[in-house]
Amino acid sequence: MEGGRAVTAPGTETGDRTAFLARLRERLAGGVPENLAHPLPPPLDGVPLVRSNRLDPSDIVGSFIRNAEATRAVVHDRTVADGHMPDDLLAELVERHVVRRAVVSREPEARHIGDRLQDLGVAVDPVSIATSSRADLGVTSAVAAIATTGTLVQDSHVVGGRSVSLLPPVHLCVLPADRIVPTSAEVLRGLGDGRVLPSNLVLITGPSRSGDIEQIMALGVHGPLVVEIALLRAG
Amino acid sequence: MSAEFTLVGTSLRERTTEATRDERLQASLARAIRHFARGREAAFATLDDGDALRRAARRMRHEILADLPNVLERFADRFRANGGHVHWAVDATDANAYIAEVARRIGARTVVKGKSMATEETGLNRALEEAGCTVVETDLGEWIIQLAQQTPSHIIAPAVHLDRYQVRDILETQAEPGRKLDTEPERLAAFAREQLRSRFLAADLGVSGCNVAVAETGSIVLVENEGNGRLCTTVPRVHIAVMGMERIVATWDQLDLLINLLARAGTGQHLSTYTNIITGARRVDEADGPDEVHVVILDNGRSDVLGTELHEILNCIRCGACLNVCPVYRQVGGHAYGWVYSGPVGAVLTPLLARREAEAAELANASTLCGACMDACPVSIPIQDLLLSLRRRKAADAGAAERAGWRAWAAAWSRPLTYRASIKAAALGRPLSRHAAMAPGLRGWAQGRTPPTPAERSFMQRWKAGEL
Amino acid sequence: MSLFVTCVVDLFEPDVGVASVRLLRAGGCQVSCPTGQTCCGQPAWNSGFHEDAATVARTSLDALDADGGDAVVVPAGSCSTMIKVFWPELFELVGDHDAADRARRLGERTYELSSFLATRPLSLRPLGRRVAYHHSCHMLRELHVRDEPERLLAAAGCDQVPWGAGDRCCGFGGMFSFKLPEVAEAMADDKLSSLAEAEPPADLVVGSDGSCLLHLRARAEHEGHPVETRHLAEVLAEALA
Repeated sequence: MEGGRAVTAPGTETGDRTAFLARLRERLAGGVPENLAHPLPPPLDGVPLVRSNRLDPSDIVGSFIRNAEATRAVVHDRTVADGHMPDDLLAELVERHVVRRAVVSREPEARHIGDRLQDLGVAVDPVSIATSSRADLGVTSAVAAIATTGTLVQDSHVVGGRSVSLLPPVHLCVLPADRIVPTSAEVLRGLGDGRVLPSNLVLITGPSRSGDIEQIMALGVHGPLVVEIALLRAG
Repeated sequence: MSAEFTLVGTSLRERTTEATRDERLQASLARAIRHFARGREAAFATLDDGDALRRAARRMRHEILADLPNVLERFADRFRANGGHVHWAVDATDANAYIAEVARRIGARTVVKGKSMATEETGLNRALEEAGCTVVETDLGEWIIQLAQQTPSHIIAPAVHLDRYQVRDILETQAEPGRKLDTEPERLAAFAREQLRSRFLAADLGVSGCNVAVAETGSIVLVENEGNGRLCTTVPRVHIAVMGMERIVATWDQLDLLINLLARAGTGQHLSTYTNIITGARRVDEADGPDEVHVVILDNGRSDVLGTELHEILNCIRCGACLNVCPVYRQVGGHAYGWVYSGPVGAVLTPLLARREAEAAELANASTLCGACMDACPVSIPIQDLLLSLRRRKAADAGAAERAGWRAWAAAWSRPLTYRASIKAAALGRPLSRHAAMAPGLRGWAQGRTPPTPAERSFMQRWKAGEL
Repeated sequence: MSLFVTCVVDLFEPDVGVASVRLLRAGGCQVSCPTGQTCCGQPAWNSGFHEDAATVARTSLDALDADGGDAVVVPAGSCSTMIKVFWPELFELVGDHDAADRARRLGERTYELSSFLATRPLSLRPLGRRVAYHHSCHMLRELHVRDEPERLLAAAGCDQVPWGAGDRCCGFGGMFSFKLPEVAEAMADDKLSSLAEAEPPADLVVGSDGSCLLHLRARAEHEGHPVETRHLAEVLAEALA
């Protein structure tokens, strides 16, 4: 994942770092009292990996589909020779969601969809907060997907922003199957390895939801109500 | 609103008793707790060895905290290198003043907020309102609470104490005159989406919390399900993240472990709907995102806890699992704790951070020390030990009568003869509550429970008589 | 081995002590009960008065040490926990390192009754009772003793009724139930109403902590729906062939 160039010069710093940290050092100088009743575990050798039985290591793609569907995402599993989302699938989606306006990211997979949408009579606007908030559909690809959790990974530098997968009520993600990795570790654990991070990396696991009212899940407050994933296997 | 201390003037006993008699609250709590319990158990059951991970996370957090000054320094340097602005805030006033000043500088009129318990703690909303801003909470539960002029009653589910009818009544105040709202949660949520969308789009400033900062890259990680966090940190031109100084890891390996535990312990999800990783402001070629990002690193009493017996409470990642398994919280809800943080973690944090240790000290009694919290905590904090530490602090300030009572008990019960004498006397039928040789303060037994009767002859009497 | 009878059993439930002795002897043990013992100190410890707790605990520590048993057996989860988990910390806190070391060593050979009995050969006849088992907090979360009581009950031919709230705190919590009695009662009510849901119902509530059983029984009686409670020791002793 490429982060793009940093915007400007280093940011400012206010408050008194020296005093702030000196206070912490002073407080920590005497060590921490031992808990004899429930002693600390011994020092770790690295950070343990999180293994879940929701992943079938022999079928990463199948695991992804199952786990994504469990989060209420809709997954269309297609084998395609040309690496593109089938036209009939797109047409059906446009009809089902009554799509009149759309925004698409600058990813090649999404741009291709943009062309096809125009062929279907959908207005495709250049991406901005304003156009994304008016669109019925936002189309992106993903730099990776996580099988254990059914998660899509969006890199704002690759996507060209964030609003495409955030503001419209329907988010379509065109996902080549070979981008699916087994666990979050494959996505997160290397992020510090010298590359420049994008301004925003987001792990999206299903449509937006809230359980704040009687723990009953309500979708689409405030992000997309629907996440459709066109999963493309090479055939 | 929430920096207000509601503890003064009522006792823990009064508040908790009232809560146990509030049938509507009880119904809401029963439903919520059942739901959260199922979720957490199911999610942990899918892990290879969830307990081992929680223990490892405890050790991991300990090591990070032990190196906190260096970790924070690294974070601040990277955050600035990414173009972000760092403010070291000693206390609530300092943090609020910084944020209000940014708001003033950019001419912000509307501020949208993602859920942030740290800003509840500092009372940021009031400070911004006093500076002339309109502040809109955007997390659905927080928005409901804000409209109702209430405080959150749970660390991650602020409106858990309300049912759909109460929510409908609150939200209807925002509808056009004459418009009636449905009580279906999905319909109420749709109304919230509709109402808040325009507020997001008109906002000048977005304020968020920070679930975990990552020092390695100077990143802020925000975990949420609604997308309001994404909106607050994408749409407005300026984003300020408020971060408790202990909410940090050094590396991405550590973040991966923590995020997996946080989601499962807190909401029973394997990952939250949105895990946002924010590193600096938007790039020149991005269509959206803030031009300016700030982080306010908040002390506000946390450094006083470092290095003390209560140190481990700083490992907390605010997942709410301890509330969900606490048998006391289940009966009394969050408002009975009287401040921002409730449940087991709240009972520890409140006397420490609210700086009213004397009044808040009785919160340490809001527990049977059952240990369910430690078992549920994703970083395995022995909260019951911390509550006991607070009880020791409180006992050190106890009144003469209480101290004398325990001393008398200890004197009698540390000698077999006097221990047995007190038992014999009790066995003669004197009511428990009146006997001085027994543990002090036993008066409270008899209201709702039939008093037990001591046996005619104690076990030791029979043993010594050679009967066994 | 040495029996640490506990103040609750000594004062309120001596039959539990009697049953424990019978069971231990049936399991092939020579039972000694040092008369110098009093209480483990937990009431004061839980209230934050650790010095007073240490004063009392030291008496019992000395009595058990002097008795020199190869094992110490305790018919209560919370008192076993006090000895095994908290005594070392208690004595360190008051600066008595010698007592802390002795407590550590004693703790290693201290057992809650059911976990000890589970390792002894016991011949039990089937009782045919329907039992709901209350897992007290310290048993479960400090001692990690969950299976042993259930296996012993099964060996005594008792059917264990599923109890949704079986693992939940009963609300006694020592001084807790005196400080916040209304909450303690609500917690007991929670367990009792869950108990009432079992179909067919249990005829007996069994546990390994007399204080929990006392609390549940006292509340149930006050509310007009009495439940019969028995300590595990009493049930098993009844099943001794």
